[in-house]
Amino acid sequence: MKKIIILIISLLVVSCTQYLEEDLLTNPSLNGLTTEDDVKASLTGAYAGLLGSSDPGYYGRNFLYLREVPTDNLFGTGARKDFDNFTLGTSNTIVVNTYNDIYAMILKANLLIDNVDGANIDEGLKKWYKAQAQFLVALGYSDLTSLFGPVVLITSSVNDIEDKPSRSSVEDVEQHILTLLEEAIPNLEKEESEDLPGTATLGAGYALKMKLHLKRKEWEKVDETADLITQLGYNLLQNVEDLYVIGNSFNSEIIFSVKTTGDPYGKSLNALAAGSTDIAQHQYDGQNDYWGFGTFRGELKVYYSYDPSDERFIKLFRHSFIDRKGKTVGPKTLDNKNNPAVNKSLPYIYSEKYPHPLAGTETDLRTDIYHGSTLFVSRYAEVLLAKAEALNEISGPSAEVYNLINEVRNRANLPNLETTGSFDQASLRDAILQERQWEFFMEGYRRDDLIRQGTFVEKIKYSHLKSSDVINVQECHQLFPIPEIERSLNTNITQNDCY
Amino acid sequence: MKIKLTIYFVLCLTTLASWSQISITGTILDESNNPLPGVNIIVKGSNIGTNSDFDGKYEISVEQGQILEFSYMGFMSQTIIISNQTTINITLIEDSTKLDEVVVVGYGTAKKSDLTGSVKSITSDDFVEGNNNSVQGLIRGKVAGARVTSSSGAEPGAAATIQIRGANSISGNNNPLYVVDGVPVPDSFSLGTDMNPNDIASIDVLKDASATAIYGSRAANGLVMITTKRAKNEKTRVTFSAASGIKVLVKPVEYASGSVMATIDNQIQEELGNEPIYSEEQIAEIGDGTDWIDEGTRTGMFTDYAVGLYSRGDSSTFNVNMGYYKDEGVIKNSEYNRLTLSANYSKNFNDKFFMDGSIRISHSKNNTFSFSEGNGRENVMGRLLNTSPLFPAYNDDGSYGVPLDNVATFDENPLPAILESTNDLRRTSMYSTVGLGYKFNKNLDVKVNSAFLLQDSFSGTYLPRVVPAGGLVGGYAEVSHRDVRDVLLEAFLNYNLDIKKNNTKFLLGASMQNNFNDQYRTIAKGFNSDAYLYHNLGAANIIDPLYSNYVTTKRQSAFFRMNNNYDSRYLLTATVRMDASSRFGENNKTGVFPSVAFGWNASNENFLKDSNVISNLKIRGSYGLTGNDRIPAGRSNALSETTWSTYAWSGTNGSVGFSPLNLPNPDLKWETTKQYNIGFELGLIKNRVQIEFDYYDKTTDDLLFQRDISRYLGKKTFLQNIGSVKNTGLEFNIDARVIRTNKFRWNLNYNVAYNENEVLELPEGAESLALDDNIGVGGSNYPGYHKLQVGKPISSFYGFEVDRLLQAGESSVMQPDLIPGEYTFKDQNGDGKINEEDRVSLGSGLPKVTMGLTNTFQYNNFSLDMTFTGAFDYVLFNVNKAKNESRWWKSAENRWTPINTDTDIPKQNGWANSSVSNDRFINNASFVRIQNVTLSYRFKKDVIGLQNFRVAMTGENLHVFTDYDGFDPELSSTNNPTKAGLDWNIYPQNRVFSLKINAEF
Repeated sequence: MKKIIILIISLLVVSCTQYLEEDLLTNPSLNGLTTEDDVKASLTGAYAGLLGSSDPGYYGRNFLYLREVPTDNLFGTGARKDFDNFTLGTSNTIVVNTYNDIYAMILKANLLIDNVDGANIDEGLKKWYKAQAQFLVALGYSDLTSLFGPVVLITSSVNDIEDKPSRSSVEDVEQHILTLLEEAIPNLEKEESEDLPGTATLGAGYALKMKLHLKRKEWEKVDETADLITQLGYNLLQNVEDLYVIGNSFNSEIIFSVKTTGDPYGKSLNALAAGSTDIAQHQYDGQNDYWGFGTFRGELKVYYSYDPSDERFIKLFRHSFIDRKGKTVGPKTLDNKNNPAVNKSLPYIYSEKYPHPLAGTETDLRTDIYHGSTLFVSRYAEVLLAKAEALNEISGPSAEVYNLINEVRNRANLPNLETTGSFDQASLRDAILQERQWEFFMEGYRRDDLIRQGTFVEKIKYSHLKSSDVINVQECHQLFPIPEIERSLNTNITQNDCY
Repeated sequence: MKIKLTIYFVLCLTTLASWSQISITGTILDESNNPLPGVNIIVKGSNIGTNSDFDGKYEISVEQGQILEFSYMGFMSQTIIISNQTTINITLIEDSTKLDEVVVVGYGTAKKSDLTGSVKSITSDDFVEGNNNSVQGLIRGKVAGARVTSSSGAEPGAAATIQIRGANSISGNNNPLYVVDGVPVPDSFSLGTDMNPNDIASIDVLKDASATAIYGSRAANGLVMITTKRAKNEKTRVTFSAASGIKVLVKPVEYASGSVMATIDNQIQEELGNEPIYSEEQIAEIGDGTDWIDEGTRTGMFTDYAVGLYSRGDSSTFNVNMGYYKDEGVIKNSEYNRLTLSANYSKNFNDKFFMDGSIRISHSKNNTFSFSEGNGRENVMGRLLNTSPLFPAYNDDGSYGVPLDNVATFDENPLPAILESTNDLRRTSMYSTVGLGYKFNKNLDVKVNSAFLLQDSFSGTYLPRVVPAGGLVGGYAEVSHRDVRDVLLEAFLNYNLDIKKNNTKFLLGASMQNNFNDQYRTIAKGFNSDAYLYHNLGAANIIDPLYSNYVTTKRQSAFFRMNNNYDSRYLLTATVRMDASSRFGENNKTGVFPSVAFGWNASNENFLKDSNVISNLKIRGSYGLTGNDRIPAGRSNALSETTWSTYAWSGTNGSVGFSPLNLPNPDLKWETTKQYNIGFELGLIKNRVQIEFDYYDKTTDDLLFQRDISRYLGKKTFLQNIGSVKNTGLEFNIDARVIRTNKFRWNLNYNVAYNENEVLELPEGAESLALDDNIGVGGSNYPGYHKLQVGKPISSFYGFEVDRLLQAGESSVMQPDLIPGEYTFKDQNGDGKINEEDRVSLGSGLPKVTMGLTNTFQYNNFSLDMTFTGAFDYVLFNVNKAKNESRWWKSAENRWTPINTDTDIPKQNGWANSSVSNDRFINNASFVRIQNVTLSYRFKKDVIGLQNFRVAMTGENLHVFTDYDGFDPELSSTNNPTKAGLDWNIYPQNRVFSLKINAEF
C-alpha cells in the first residue's frame, strides 16, 4: 500500500512538464509557419499593416495628413493646423502613430521573411511570399526616409531589446531598399495573383524602384525602369474619373494600391480595412450633405489654377453643395474667382476623389463611416510623368518628353502642352511639376515632388490665395520630427533640425 | 403551522428515544462561578448531544453507564460516568495551554499555539452582521492588516476586495489567494458573491511567509482560507435564519434649484448686455427643477434566508445548506438574486479508510449597470450626477422629459437608461470535491483530493430606442457568455514523528490544477422593433463581428512542510513549494518558494509556567519567498493576433490574417516577495487579555511591467519582470474579555495596522513614471494624475496647488490660457512658469493606517455589538466634485460668475483651461465609521422550545466621521492598486437597517 501511495505522489511530482504548455488557440504561437494557409494569413496581416494599427492609420487618413496637408495642396484645420503651419510638436499623435505603424508593418513583414523558409510549400511559392514581404519592407523604409530622413534600420524580426542603435543614414537605408527590391523583383509576377489579387506585381516592384530613383535623381535609372514598366502593358484609363469609382481597384492604370472594403460588418475585424471615415467627403446626415471632417480642404489657389475645361477639375471637385439651411452654396466656377461673397461662403474646396458610397442616399453616415476607396501608391500616369521629368533633366525638352506629358493631358481633355507656350529645360521642369499637382491632387505625391525639385519652401510659403497670407516654413520642415518617446527610450537617437 | 408540526415531530422522536432513559440536568460554571453557555455536552459513542444555554444550564437524556463529555474551547474537558444521579453540576477549569483555536493552514490545520506564522482566524460568531453582499465583507474591520474595500459601493452583486499588508504589485491585481475547504479558487471565479456567507464557518487570514509559502507562486498577497460549516455535534441539527432590511441612500450631493440657476444665467446675460435666456414663465415652470438623484434612486431592500441540516452518525457526517438572497439596491432597478445549495459528506469506512465529498451550487441573476469610471453616456451614476436640473424628469403626459428647446445642452434624460434598459447577468457556479484518505497508523496518513469547479456566466443587454445610446443605433443588443472550468488533483502525506519531547510533523505533497476559460461576445444593432430585447440577434440590421477567446492556465506543484515542536517550547517550521506554470517563460519554468520560521513559547518555560499573570508568551519570526503568478496568458511566447490584420485583397471582402501580438519574453516569471515577520503574542490572566503584535518587512522584486520599448522594434511594449516595491508595517491586535460577571460581560477586539509602501525601483532606472490616466476634463495638457515615483508609495497622486480664482479683467502671465473664474496655481519652483515641474505629490490613495474596533456587551440575554472601522493618512481624488461642483450641484448656485466674484467655486466648467488634478479635489479621506451596531436577544430554550433562538436588529454604516466631502471616504472606483483613490461615479453608499432571526432545532 505504502508503495502505491508513494508511486502516486511521485507521479504527480514528476508528471511531465509538456502538459504545462498553454493552449494558445485564440492567439496561436507565431513560431514557425507551416502550411500555405499560415503563410498566406501572415502575408495578409503584413499587408494589413499598410492600413496601420491605430485609427486612422498609415495608408489611411494619416497618409494624407502627412503628405498633402503640409504642402500647397491642402489646408489643415483644428488639430491638423500644426501640419499646415509647420508648428508640429515632437509628440504629435499623427506623426507618432505613422512612425509606429510603419515599423509595425516592417516587423510583420520581417517575421514572414524570417520564417517562410520553414514552411511546407513549394520553393517557388516561398520565394514569391518572401518577395511580397520584401516589397513591403522596401515600401515602409521608402516612406520612413521620405518622412523622417535617417531612421533606425531593422532588418530582422529578432532584435535585442536592450540594444541602442543610432539612425542609419538616408544613403544606407536607400541602399537597403534597393537591395531588397533587387532580391524581390525577380520573384514577382507580371500578372495579378489570382489567389491574392492586389499583392505586389512585377510592375509594383519596378514602380517602387522608379520612385526611389526619382527621389535620388538617378534620371537614367528612372528612364530605364519606366520603360520596363511600360513594357508590362499598362495604359491610362480613358476617363480619368473612372479611376476613383469605388470597386474599380483593378484596371490597366493602377500599378499598386491599398484596398479597403467599405464594409466593416462582414468578415472584417479591422475597421481600417474598411477605410476610415473622413477621407470620404460626402457625408449625409439625413437631411443635408455635409463636408466630412473638414480636414482635407483644398487650397483655393490650386482650385483656381486648373483650366476650366480640365476634366480633372470638372469631374473631381465638388463645386457646390446644399448647406444645412437648404441654401445652395456656389456654383463655384472660375468666374467667381474674385467674388468675395463666394469666397466667404465657400472658402475651401473639396476633392471628389474619395467619394462615400452612400452619400446622398439619406443614410445617416455618422454611424456608417467607412468608404471603401482605393488608395493609390503607384499608377501609370506617374510613370509617364516621371519618365518625362527624367528625360527633361537628362537632355531638356524633346518631342518624346511632350508626348509623355500630353498623354496625361489629353486624357483630361487638355491640349498638347507645347501649344500652350514655349519651354526651356527649367520652365518645362515647372510645367511637369504643375501637371503632377493637377493630376495627383490629394494622392500623396506633392510633398516628395516639392522636396525633389527644391521648391518646398517657395511653393508652400505662398500656398494661400491671399498673397499677404504667408506660411512660415523652413527647409528643415522637409522632415517630420522623430517621436519624442523614441528619443527618451534610446538616447542615441538624434532629433531632426527644426524640432 | 409548519414549525409547530416540526416541533411536535421532533418532540415525538425525543419521546421515543427517551424510553428507558434518565434525564440529567445541571449547570456549568467556570472557576469564578460564571455560567458557561454553549458548552458541548455529548454522550460518548452516540449521536446524542446538547449545548448549555446562556445560564449554563443543560438537560440531556442518557442511559445508565453511559459517559457524558463536557467540552468547551479553552477549557479542559471533563467526562462523567452516569450512575443514578439526575443533576450534574460541572465546574470547567480554564486551560491556558489548551486555549487554542484551531486555525486552518495550507493542507491541514494547526493549533494556534504551535504556529510560527501570522494568522488570524475569524469564526462565524464574529462575522460582521447585516446585509453582507460578499464573503469579503464578513471580516471587514476584524483582521489587522486586511483592508476590505469595495470598488462598487453598495451595488448589489458586487464583491469587495481584501488587500493584505499593502500593495505588492503594480500590474493591477493585489488580491489574496482564496482557498475554500482546501481548494485554491482561481481569480476567474466570482467567489466573493457566489458563496453564501451563511455557509461559512470560519475565515482564516494568513499573512506572513511562513504561513503562506506553502502556496508558493500564488501566495504573495496573502491567503484567505474559507472553511464551510460541517456537522459538529453528535446529533441532528436544523438551523434556520431569516434576515431582511431596508437600505437607505446616503445622499451624496444636493442638486441646485432650477429656477435659481436659470436666474443666474439670465443675470449673467444681462451683465453682458444680452437678452435673457429664460423667460419669466419658463423660470416659473422650472421651479425647483429636477433632482436627478431623487429620481434615479429608491429605498432598497434585502432578504436573506438560509436553512441548514447537520447530522453526525457514528462514522459519518452530513450537512446540506440552502439559501436564498435578494438584494435590491438604492439605484432603481439594480438587483441581485442568488440561490445556493451546498452539501458536505464525510465517512470513515473503517479505522483506515476515510472519504469526504462536497458540492456547492450557486445560481445568481443580477440586473446591473455600468458604474465604471469614465464619461460614457452608459455610465448611470455619471449621468445622475451631471444632468441639468432645468428640465423635468417626466412630461405631463408621462413621457420622459427632454432639455428645453432654447438652451444649448448635450444633456439627455438619464432615467430611460435606468428604467428601460435590460441588463441581465446570470451566473451558475458549481464547486465539487471528492477526497479519499488512508491512515496507515496513527502517525502516517495519506490523502488524495480532487476538485472540479465550473462557472457559467451569461450576460444579455438591450438598450431600446427610448434610451439615447440605443436610439442612436436603432436598438442595441449585446450578448456574452463565459464559462470557466477548473480541475484540481492533489495528494499529500502526513507523517508524525515523536522522539521523547520532540514532535515533528511532515507534510509532503503534489498538486496539479488546470484552468480553462471560454468566452464569446456579440453586439447587434438596428432592430425593427424593441420587442426582441436581446433574444433575437438575427433580427438586427448590423451584427458586429463575434468576439471569442480561450485562455488556459496549467500548474504543477510539489510542496513540503516540516513542523518541529520541542516540548511545546521551541517551534521550527520549514516549508518549500515548487511551482511550475504554463504562464512562466521557458527559461523560468519552475519557481521555488521556501520559508523558515521559529517560535519560542516562553510561557511554557519553567520560569513562567506557573505565572498567574502571564498565561501565554510567544515570540516568533519568519522569512520566506512567495510569488504572484498573475501573468497574462501566453506572453512568454510569440503570439499572434487577428486584430488589425484584415486586408481586403480584392477591395470587396476582408480576409483575416494575423500579426504578432507581442514580443516574446522567455524569461517571464512570477513576481517575488521576500518577507520578514517578527511576531509577539501575549496572554494575560488566563488569556483574558490576548495581545498580538507583528512587524513585517516585505520587498517585492521582478514586478511584472509592460515596459515601453523603442517603436522601431515594431511593438510599443514588452512585458518584463522589472522594478521593485517595499511594504513595511506593524500590526497590533488585542482581544479582551474586559468584564465577566454573572449578568454582564464586555468583550473587546481592537486591531490596527500601519503600512508604509514605497516604490524602490522602476523600469529603466527611472525616477518616476507618469501613469496614463485621464478623467476627460480639464488638464488634458497634464494627463496622468497618478505617478509611480521612487521613494513614494504607489498610487501617489500628483498635481498643482490651487492659488486663487482669476478675477474679471485679470489675466495670468504664467497661465495665459486662463480666463476669469478659473484657478491659478502656485508656482512651486518660482521659475515664473506653470508647467509639469510645478506639480507636487498630493498624497497616496492607499491608507497608511487601518483599524477596526469591536465591542460586545452582554447583559442577561441581550447582546450589543458595535463595530467601528477606520482608515487614516490617505487621499481621494474627488472626481465627481471636480467635474460637477460648478455645474448643477447646490454649490453651483454660488459659483464664480461676473456678478458673483467673492467665492471659491470656479465658473461653470471652470476646468476648461485649468487642471483638475489639484489639491482642491484631492483631499484627505481619513475616517472613522460606525460600521455596524447589532442588538440581539437570545431566548431561553424553555421559553420558546427551540435552541439558540435569537432575534437581532442591525444598523450598518450609521455614521462616518470624516472631513472628506465626497461620496464616501472608503470607495475607490478602481481596484487597480496603482490607481487607487479615485472617487468617480461609484454606486452610492447606503445605510442598512435590518432584522434577523436565527433558530436551531
